[in-house]
Amino acid sequence: MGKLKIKDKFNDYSLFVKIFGATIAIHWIIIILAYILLYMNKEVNVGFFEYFYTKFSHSGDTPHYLNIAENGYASEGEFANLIVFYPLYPLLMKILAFVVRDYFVSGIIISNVCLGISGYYLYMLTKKELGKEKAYDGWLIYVIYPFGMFTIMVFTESLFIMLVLMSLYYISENKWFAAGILGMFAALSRSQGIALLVPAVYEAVLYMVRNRKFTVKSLSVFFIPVGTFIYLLMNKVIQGDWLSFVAHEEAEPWYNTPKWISQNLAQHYDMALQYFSLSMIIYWLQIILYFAALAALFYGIKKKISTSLIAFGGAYIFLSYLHGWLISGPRYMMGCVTLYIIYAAVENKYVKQAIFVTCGLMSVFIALGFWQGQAIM
Amino acid sequence: MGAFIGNLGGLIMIILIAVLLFKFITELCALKKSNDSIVKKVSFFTVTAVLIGFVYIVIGGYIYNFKNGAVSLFDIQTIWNMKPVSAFMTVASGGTYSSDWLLSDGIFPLYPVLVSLFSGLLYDMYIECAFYISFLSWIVTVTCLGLWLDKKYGYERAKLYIMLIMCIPGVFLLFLPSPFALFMALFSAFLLCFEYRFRVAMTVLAFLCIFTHMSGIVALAVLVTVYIYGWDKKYSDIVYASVILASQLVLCVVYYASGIGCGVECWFLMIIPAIMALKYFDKNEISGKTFYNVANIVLVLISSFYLTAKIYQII
Repeated sequence: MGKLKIKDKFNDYSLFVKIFGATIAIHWIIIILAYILLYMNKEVNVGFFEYFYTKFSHSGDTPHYLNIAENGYASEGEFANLIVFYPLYPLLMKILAFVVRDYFVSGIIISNVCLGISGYYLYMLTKKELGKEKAYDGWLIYVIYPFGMFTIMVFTESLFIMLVLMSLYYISENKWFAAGILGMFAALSRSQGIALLVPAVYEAVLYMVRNRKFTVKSLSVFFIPVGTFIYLLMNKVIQGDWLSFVAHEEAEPWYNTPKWISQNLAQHYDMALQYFSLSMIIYWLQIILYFAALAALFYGIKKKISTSLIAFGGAYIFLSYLHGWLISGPRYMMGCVTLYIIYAAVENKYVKQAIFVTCGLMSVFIALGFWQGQAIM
Repeated sequence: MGAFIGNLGGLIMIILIAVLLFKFITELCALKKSNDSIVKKVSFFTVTAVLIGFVYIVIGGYIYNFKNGAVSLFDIQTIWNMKPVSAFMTVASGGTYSSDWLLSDGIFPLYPVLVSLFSGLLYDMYIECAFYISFLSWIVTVTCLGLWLDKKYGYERAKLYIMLIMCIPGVFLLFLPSPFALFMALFSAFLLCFEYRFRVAMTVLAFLCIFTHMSGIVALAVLVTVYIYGWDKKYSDIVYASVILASQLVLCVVYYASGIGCGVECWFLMIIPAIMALKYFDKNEISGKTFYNVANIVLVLISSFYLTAKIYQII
């Protein structure tokens, strides 16, 4: 019996190592292939790591995270608006930087470790939902998602996705305390983290009704909004207003005023017609992804995917598309982990392979655009 | 937008024709009360070919649009301006086939003649007609290769392998206007006849291959081997794989020396011996599945690299 347990543990460990390694490796292969194209096109003449460091420590949101990790949040002045970025990721960078002595490298390490773990938990969650055979498919579409390069950079994506997946996994296992704490951390790393409250409450209520008793432990799910509360408190303490981040988001350079989804989609469409180049990588993709994701959720309901997972997907998309002047839609949608599980549930081989090939073919191209400094945000 | 709608209409019409044809075959089969499994298999390979072909057209057009500005996704001549498509387009705009095409660009007569014939019916839409013929050739290629694989390895494996083949870098050249697309359709049909031991059909197809593309030599080499060596011998797979490989390698040298052809024309036929060799290391269900999973992801990433590089004109 003991031997069997050790063997099971070893198999679990071996599976974890395999998935962890493969998830990270595939993302790096994509970014390296894109770099080779860049090099062949004579757009760069320095080595991979040197260019990677100089390029990506200065692009996108990375400099903001580096700034927060190094100097903390500012109560006023030029960098006061950085309070719009949630604190968990820069805090982890700060802690690790005591060891590695470089904030950028520290961020890269955190992102990659989280990425590897997120791959494992996605596999486990899909396996729990659909069985071993299909678990691989869910993982596959995650690693090949065309905007996946954000997960190895200094962005919150991989940390957030990891926490969401872990929280959803423990919700499905009815381990409320773990789910609540991880959900709280998710809410401390991105605004959409609060969406975890929906599946958590849903499952907790079902659990209590099923067992016909009130469980105090299940109240742990309310740790999730505590994460958001801590962020609001941070706003109050540092800048004197619970909602100071809202004013910063509305101002330059984000112009991000929350609006109803249909207004935002209409704005995407207008912008797509006005700016051809941006429409190709931002606006059309956001519109297509929105409708495709909703269609996928309906399909997920038909395929009897757990309603709590579908509910998370719905809540996540809802929160993401409330952003006025959204320009990071394709990146945000990466965090809608329900979609990977729905993909795994697709029975039709044509559709499945067509989605896989579409994502696969786009991956190196989008990564190339990212290297080139195109508006991929 | 007008051009896009027009082209989309044209493509839908071709798809409608293919669907009606398929429906006709289905009903014929139903009348004969034959086993419907062949219909199921043909429909799987056909639909997969149409769907994946469409994905390639959209992604290729998307990348081109992003790099160079707005063009219709079906503006084949602009978006897919690469060898061997460009070689064909350049000479084809000159009109009727002449022997100069063979000498200067290595373009054999069957494909241009077919295109001329049908473009006459389609109000002289030469390029569109070339594309439609190539796209139908692509469907035939995938279906015949699928049925060939089905006969060789069974339906489940055939489905997996055909998915892999459609991720091979440069596979998009099999539905773009060039004689190579038609050649691959004929060669796939040739292989299918080979597997079913239809010697006469093989002979006809081998000659059609020669009239279509220089790689027709490979079909001829296989045909000669059939007549000399026969089939159903212990090492026949190894022998035929070697014949295809050797003749294709010779052709690669010829391509390189003469400066005609392109990479895809060199490496694509190599998949046939590779598939023949598969059975020696893809023996059980688990290793087969692992092999497929790894190969699928590797191929699609290389294909993404190759497609982007081609449209960016880096290689």
